[in-house]
Amino acid sequence: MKAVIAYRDADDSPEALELAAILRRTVGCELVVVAVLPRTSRDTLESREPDAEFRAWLDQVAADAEAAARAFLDGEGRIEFLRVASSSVAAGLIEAAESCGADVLVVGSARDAVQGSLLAGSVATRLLHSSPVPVLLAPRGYHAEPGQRFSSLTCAYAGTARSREALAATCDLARRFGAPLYVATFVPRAGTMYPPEVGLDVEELVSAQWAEQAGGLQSEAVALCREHGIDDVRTFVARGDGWAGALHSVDWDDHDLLVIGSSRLGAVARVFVGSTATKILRYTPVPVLVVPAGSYVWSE
Amino acid sequence: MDTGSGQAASTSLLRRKSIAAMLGSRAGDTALERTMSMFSLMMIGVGATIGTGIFFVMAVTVPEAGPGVLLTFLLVGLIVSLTALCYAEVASKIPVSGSAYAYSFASLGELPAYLVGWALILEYGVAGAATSVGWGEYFDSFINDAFGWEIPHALNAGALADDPGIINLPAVVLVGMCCLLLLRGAKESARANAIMVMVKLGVLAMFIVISFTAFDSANLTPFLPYGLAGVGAAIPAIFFTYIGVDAVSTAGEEVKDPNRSLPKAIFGAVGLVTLFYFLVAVGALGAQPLDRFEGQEAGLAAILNDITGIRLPALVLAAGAVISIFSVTLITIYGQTRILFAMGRDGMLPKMFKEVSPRSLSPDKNVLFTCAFIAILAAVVPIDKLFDLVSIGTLAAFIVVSATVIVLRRDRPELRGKGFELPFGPVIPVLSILSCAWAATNIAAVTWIAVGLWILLALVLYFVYARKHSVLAPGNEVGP
Repeated sequence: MKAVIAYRDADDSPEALELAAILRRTVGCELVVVAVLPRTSRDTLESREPDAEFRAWLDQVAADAEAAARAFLDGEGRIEFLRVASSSVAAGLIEAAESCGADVLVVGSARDAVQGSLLAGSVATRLLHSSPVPVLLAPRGYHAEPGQRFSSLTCAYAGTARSREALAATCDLARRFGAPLYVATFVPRAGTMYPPEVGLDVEELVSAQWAEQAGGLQSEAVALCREHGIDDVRTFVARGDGWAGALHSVDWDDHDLLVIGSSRLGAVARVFVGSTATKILRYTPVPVLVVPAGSYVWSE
Repeated sequence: MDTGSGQAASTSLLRRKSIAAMLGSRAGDTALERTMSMFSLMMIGVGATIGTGIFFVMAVTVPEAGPGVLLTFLLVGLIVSLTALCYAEVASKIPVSGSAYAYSFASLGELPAYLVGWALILEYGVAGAATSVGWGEYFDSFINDAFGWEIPHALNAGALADDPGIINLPAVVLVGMCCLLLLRGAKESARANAIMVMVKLGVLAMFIVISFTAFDSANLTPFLPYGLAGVGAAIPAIFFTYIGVDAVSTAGEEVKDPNRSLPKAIFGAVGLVTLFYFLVAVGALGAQPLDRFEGQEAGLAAILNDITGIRLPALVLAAGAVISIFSVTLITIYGQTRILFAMGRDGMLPKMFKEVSPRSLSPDKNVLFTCAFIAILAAVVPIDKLFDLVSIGTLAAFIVVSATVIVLRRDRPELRGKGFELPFGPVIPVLSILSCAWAATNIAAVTWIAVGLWILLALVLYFVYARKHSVLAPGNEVGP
């Protein structure tokens, strides 16, 4: 297994490196740290002074990033460092992941996220809906002590095609982890519409119904896991007010890993529609592995 | 799921749901925090009420009652206040979702509740169609004033209208937009509701001020050209303008000091709404002769156009109406989907009404079916016919809820002293029942025939489907 870690600047917050370290400890994967930096016009405008200065500055940024990444990660095993020139960070990362045959992309939270919360920045948001491989993210300030591994795996399951893909990825990881596998269905209670003509708690009916349906879906999920050789599967339904309430109703350990599916959305849909994945990310207190549609198939 | 009924038919028709089971997971919660002020509650009532009818009701009622329509507004305001008080007592004793349907399932029993559910389809579903048709009128007026465009008659009138077209396209488009929003799980928040209240009151206030500049008292005589019968004939359509006022009662469980605040909020909301309606009606009546009202589309905007001779005021009013009727339609359709959802959960309707889509976490099939039903009605049926249907449904629900007050006091003495209680013994519920029944006598015979067929269809489906699939049928018990 190979992971590509997005890290291009020693000023980047270290969640991506923290995640890479804990992932390596848990599943023993190879790490490739990738710094995506802008293209420069080296061939045509060599003589121009400002351009040369810009190139020198980029070289320095890459060298700093490499030094910081090695200082952080080399203690527990070697890493590879790769510099990619691209006008788009997301495109550069996807290119790097494809060229080195990575199984997972690791990215940090946006720099302006509040400590403890996960804010998918513009790069992460694009990756969530278009990455060819699953994307691992963590809340800002995520930290794992040396020797710490992921303590358990939780797959968010709603019976959709994309949550079956997430379940496949989870089962695959569970085989490598040896960690307990949970199948969770989140039941966020929506707010009622104002004025509340048919009762203030009418959405409680909808969430009660969804919780009932979740029971049946989870039995399906457990059967799917068994077919793929994972027998120790536990299930739970997490209910609360909105996505925040549903996610916080779970008694998480800091090093649990949540696995969710995500649909493929174009640029316009990402802006105007959003997705369940982005809602879950906004409120998750633990690291999340997002499995974009089509990025994972059951592996035997 | 199918099990033969082991119960005797007479009892099974009136089997009741337990209130504790209906409260479900909420029963264990600590008492709801009472945080809402009397004023916010009153604004909820105003927001739910204004926008349903006042923008288009004059064209239907003035030809029936003449200036006497002013009396109809006062009369209906009074009736509605009585009923809203009854709603308040029932809602505070059985604080469950699903409005009159759920109240009657806990108090009167299954078959009455089922029929009330079908009556609520008239109150919500058909009302959604009526507001969509009304929205279409203002949308036409808006684009005409703003851009000079006109939608061809064939595309903005239903096939059953007096002057038939092919399809009422604007109305269908509105229902379609509401459908998309509901499928996306969009909700109008308390804040959005407050903004809508301001928009509605703002444009109505503008109408009142401008129309009073053209006030001519000669237009108000004769005051009762069609006598008191005319005043009665206008009741069904005027009733339509008060739909939604029961929202005060359903939201009432959150209000601080309900025994004092609830009646104040109800009278406050009905009073404010009636004041605005009355002034709008006086303004409209004073501004133009009686014969101008008949068939006048987007009436309030048309009157402003005539008075001022410039487009701007009418344009502002039409824009306000387009926004606020949109919001009322969205809320009404949403209410309908949730009532059908509650009926689906109880086994009164097929499973598709309660199924939650895993993708959107909302009852998508229910929303699509409801919107399709409303869109078809809105496409074909003219607004005045829809008013009458809505009023029958609403009056039926009002009567049942008023009766529920009396039934609950008799059958559930343990609820005494809990929540809000009406003074004067059975006087208020009895007055409410009698006045609603009297109001219903003013509805045209042809509408009653339609409603009779509607109830017949409901009964057939009850005995074919609902009775066997009810959650209360032996062997079907599931968790709350």
